[in-house]
This record gives sequence, structure tokens and C-alpha cells, in this order.
Amino acid sequence: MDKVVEIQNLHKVYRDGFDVHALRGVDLDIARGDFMTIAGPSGSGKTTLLNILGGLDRPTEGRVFIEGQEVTAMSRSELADLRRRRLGFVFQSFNLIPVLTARENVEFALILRGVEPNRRRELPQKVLGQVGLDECMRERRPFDLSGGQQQRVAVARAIVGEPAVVLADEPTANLDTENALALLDLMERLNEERQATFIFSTHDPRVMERAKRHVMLRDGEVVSDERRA
Amino acid sequence: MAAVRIPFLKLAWRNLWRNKRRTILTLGAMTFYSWMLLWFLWFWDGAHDGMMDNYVRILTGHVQIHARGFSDDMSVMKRIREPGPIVAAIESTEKVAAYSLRVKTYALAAAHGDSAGAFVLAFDPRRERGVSYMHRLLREGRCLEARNRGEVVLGYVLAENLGLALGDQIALMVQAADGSMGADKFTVVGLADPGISAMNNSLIMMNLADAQELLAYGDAVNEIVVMAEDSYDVARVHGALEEQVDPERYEVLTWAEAAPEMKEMIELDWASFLLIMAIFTAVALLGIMNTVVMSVFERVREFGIMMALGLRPGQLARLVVTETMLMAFVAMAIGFSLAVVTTWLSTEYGFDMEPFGAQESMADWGMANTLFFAKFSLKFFVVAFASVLGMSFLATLYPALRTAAMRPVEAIKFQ
Ligand SMILES: Nc1ncnc2c1ncn2[C@@H]1O[C@H](COP(=O)(O)OP(=O)(O)OP(=O)(O)O)[C@@H](O)[C@H]1O
Ligand SMILES: [Mg+2]
Repeated sequence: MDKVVEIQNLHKVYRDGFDVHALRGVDLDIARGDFMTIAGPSGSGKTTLLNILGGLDRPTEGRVFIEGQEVTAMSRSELADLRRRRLGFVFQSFNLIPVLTARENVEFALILRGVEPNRRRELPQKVLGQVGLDECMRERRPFDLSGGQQQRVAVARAIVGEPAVVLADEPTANLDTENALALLDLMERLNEERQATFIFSTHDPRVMERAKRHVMLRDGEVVSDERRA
Repeated sequence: MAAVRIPFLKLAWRNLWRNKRRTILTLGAMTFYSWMLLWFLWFWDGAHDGMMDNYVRILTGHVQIHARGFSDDMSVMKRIREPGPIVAAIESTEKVAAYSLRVKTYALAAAHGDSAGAFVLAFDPRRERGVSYMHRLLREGRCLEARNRGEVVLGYVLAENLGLALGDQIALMVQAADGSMGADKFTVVGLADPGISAMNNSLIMMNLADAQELLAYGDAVNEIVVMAEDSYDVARVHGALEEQVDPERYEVLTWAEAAPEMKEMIELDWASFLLIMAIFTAVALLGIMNTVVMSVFERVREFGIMMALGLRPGQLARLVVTETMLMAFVAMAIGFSLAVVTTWLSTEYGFDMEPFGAQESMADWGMANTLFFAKFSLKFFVVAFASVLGMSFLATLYPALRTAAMRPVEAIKFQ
């Protein structure tokens, strides 16, 4: 198996006032091209896990590797570089930079990756087409887009630089059923077409059904790990 | 792969227009600061120059050359016997605007049975015009003329004290260089108002040749006054002259050495001005820092997203700094333009400082003038430029560092 992500014995203890043991020894290997959901009740540690995978937070114990590089040993700047080059993020809402238009938001990810100007102009249009954002919407700023449109732009921005992994924390939580399903279709298609690895957390049973691999967390531990045909 | 070129300017510019009201207020404050700072610097410099010029033009010139010791006791014996080589040196020195040979001495003046102590200042009127305002001080009658002999122009109070009018005769007695008493009669052709009380009641101006005869000086003089082209050139001219004359025999003094109290007054005035400017700067700095902190605080989540996209902490700090600096440059463009206009107006028409109590403090210096003129200079433009940039940078430093220190998880969680 071509492992993109390797998680070894991950612990996270939040210490404010009293200790909260949010992750208690998580071990996971994630293959390239996987389409994986992490589910579990509220407070089970989904967000905590994704944040640590993305180098946005540090674990109390344990190690994370992305494409063989040890994320948990990196400095702040190295983490920034890793996120810029190899990771894509989609959060629950308000993902976009408000002063940039939809197209510019996507282009921004390419600028950060040092993509040359010509490709920087074409690619966002192509990817925004793939996520189904009408041309007339592309020069709008996030404020003038619906929640579903904003999420699609966020997905476009996350995948445009061809990252090793796209990390999405409840990307459909703020969308109605129709939009949630559309976003899922989109991610599924991108997963197939581009072999992009998706890891996302969700409460939503509709989302869990679609995953190739489905991990359940409870109280910071993996309680089930299923793979569908 | 092309180099990573984050469009800081574009982002900063757009970010500024998100909160128009705040940006315009901040920009307004920065513009006001830039304007006042530069205008005041140029004005203060010009006003001091004016004060100094007034003083120098009446009394001291920029640079004075005497026989060594003359400035201590004004003894007639301490004279420059051969002014020729010194004049040649002055004429070959750069940045010299004009010079004048003078004879100065104390005298006893008598008329109609009254007598008074007097101060004789003798010069060649054609040369003196270049270095002093003596010719402008006339109240009545006419100026000295080089081709006439035996004429004097008196301080008007001295004339009153001795009951003298135009056309009257005045007798003068002096100690001459040969040890004898020199005495002669002169005709009053003009009355002058030097504006300095000590001179109004003692000044007697005459032609150089008359004084040289009175003092049995031959071709000697006892003071050579030199004016530089600009007040900034004084040190240079002074240095150049000091190198060329024999230090054993002559002393070369700047106006500041000849009249240290004036120099001290100007320095004191600068010090109080700078103190006020420092307070003004501190207020501006805190105000700007406050708005930058607010604008950063409102965008914590957004900075978190940018960190997730892979911006480094330093790049976030740079974005914050760029926003403030952008405002600083716009503010300087407007503020400095305003300063140029107001400075130009105050070089053309002057600015009357009387309402600010200038009358009294100038009177202490025997000067009635309260109208001052600003002066453009690159030096103070650079000072203002550096101050605005430095102030803006300092104001943004703390919020920028705070931004760079944000932890991504917390920033993203922030709503
Ligand atoms: N910054 C923090 N400080 C203290 N405790 C925290 C912090 N963040 C999370 N926790 C705690 O850690 C545990 C795991 O939280 P986490 O946000 O990872 O859960 P989650 O599965 O994402 O929940 P949800 O479905 O509600 O988003 C919870 O008990 C939570 O209260
Ligand atoms: Mg969560």
C-alpha cells in the first residue's frame, strides 16, 4: 500500500483548568487515493485529529507522517510550507478570504505554491468549472456567494494545487441536503479523476455511506475501521 | 516553478477598504501628522534662520575675523594691520556671499554741551550692504555715501539725547592707535533705528576712511565680517577661513561664538519644539496602534485560514505591516503636499507669531519682528519622512508580532 498518512499512537491532552484527553492512542495508515470519513459523537476527537494531521496543532504524544515526512517534528515555518505544498483544507464555513473573489481565492493557493502566471490564470477557471461554479459567479467576493457556492470554491481551492491530502472538517455541516449531496458528488468525482486523497470528518449518515473507508471515533479512540467495496 | 510572490499590496489595499470609516479616520490622522510635522519643521527652521539672520545681519555677521584678543576688550591697539591677504583668502573661499571691512570702537560723543558714550561702527557702505541691514535701519535722512567724507548716521535715541537733528554737527573723541586722542566733527545725515535698545542710544555709523583717519589706523581695520551663502554653510566657511589665516595673530569666530546666547536660545527653542513633536508623535502612534490592533482582532479567523493555506507567520506579520505602511505612504503623499503648499505660503507671506506670544520673547532679544518665514530644506523633509515611516512601523510592530504569534488552531476556531 502507498501510504500517504501514517498516524502512530497519537495522544492529545488539552490542559485548561482540568485535563481533557481528546485523543487516546490513535493508530491509522491512510492510502493514496483514499476517500475516508471520520465519524463519531460530538467531542469524540474528530476535529482534534484533523488539526493535528494538518499541522495546525501539535499532539501531546505520538507521531504523524505525511508522505514519509514527520509532521510532528516540524517547526512552524516548515509546517506552513508543508500545508502550502502538500495539503488542502476545507472547513465547516467561512473558508474564503473575503477580499478576494472566488477566482482569486483559488488562484491564491496557486500563488502560494509558486505556480507560474500562465497556469495560474487558466487553472482556477478549469477547476471552478469542475466544481460547478457558474462563470458569472467567479468574479464575486465570498460575501456575495451562497454557503454552498462558498464551500465549492473552498473545495476548488483545496484541490487546485494537487495536494497529497485534502482535509475537511465537517464540510457539509452548514449545507442543506441538496447542496451537501452535490458537494459529496463533487469530492467523490475529484477523488476518482485526480486520485486526490480525502479525509473528512462528519456527523452526517449520508456522508458516511459514500466513503470507501469509514472510521469511528469514540472518546478519542478508534472503535471501528471499515472498508467498503 | 516561479518564485512565490504573495500579492501583499493588493491584499493590503483591499483590506484597508473593508472598513472605510476606520481607514479614512486613520488616514486622516496620519495625513494631519505628516502635514504638521513637515510644515512645522520647515517653519521652525525658517523662523530660527530669520531670527538668526536678523541678529547676525545687525551685529555679528556669520563669521568674524579679528586680531587675536580684540573680541575680549575691543582695544584699538588690536587691529588687522594688513587686511589685504585676508581679503584675498576670503575671496578665494567657496560659499562666501559677501564680506565687509569694519572699524569698531567706543567714543565720546558731544553736542550742544551734552555728551554721551557711543559705539562707532565704520564701514564701506557699498560692501556693508552685502553683510548687514544697516542701510535698512534708516528712519530719517539718508544713508552714508562712500564718496562723501565727514558724515555720520546716528541711532535715533542717541540723537534725541544729544538734541541733534539732521544737518547738525557732532563732535567725537576716541583713543587712537598711536596713543593720542583722536577728535573730529561730523555732520549728521541720517537717523537709524536698529531695533535693539542698546544700539538705539549709542550707535554711530560712519565711512571706513573717516574712522581709519580718526584712529590713526592707516589701512588697518579691526573687524572683517563674512556672510556665507546659507546658514548651513557657516561651519564650512568658518573652517576654510580658519585654515587660511595665521592663528597666532587672528581669531576667526562664527556668529555662534560671537553671540553664544543667541545660539543657546535657538537650541532651547528646538528642544522645546522637539518635545512637543515627541508628544504629538506618541499620541499619533498610540492612536494608529489602536486601530491596527482592532483591525487585526477582527480578522483572527481569516488569519487562521491563511495559515492553513500555508502562509508563514512572518508573511502574516508582513501583511499587517504592509497595510499600515500603505496608509503611511498615502498620508505622506497628501500631508507632505499640504506641507509644501502651507510652507510655500509661509515663505511668501510669512506667518505672524504675535498671537502666540512671540512679541514678548522677541523683545527680550531687542527684536520687534514677529513675522517669520518658513524655509524648504531636504534635510527636514528626510527627517519628516523618516519620522512618519518610523512612527507607523512602531505602531504596527506590536499587532504584527501578535499576528505572527497566533496559533493556527485557535485562530481558526475564533469566530
Ligand atoms: N482548545 C481546547 N481546549 C480544551 N478542550 C478542548 C479544546 N478543543 C477541544 N477540546 C475538547 O476535546 C474533546 C474533543 O474535541 P473535538 O473538537 O476534537 O471533538 P469533535 O469530535 O470534533 O466534536 P464535534 O463533533 O462537536 O465537532 C472535547 O471534549 C472538547 O471539549
Ligand atoms: Mg469538530
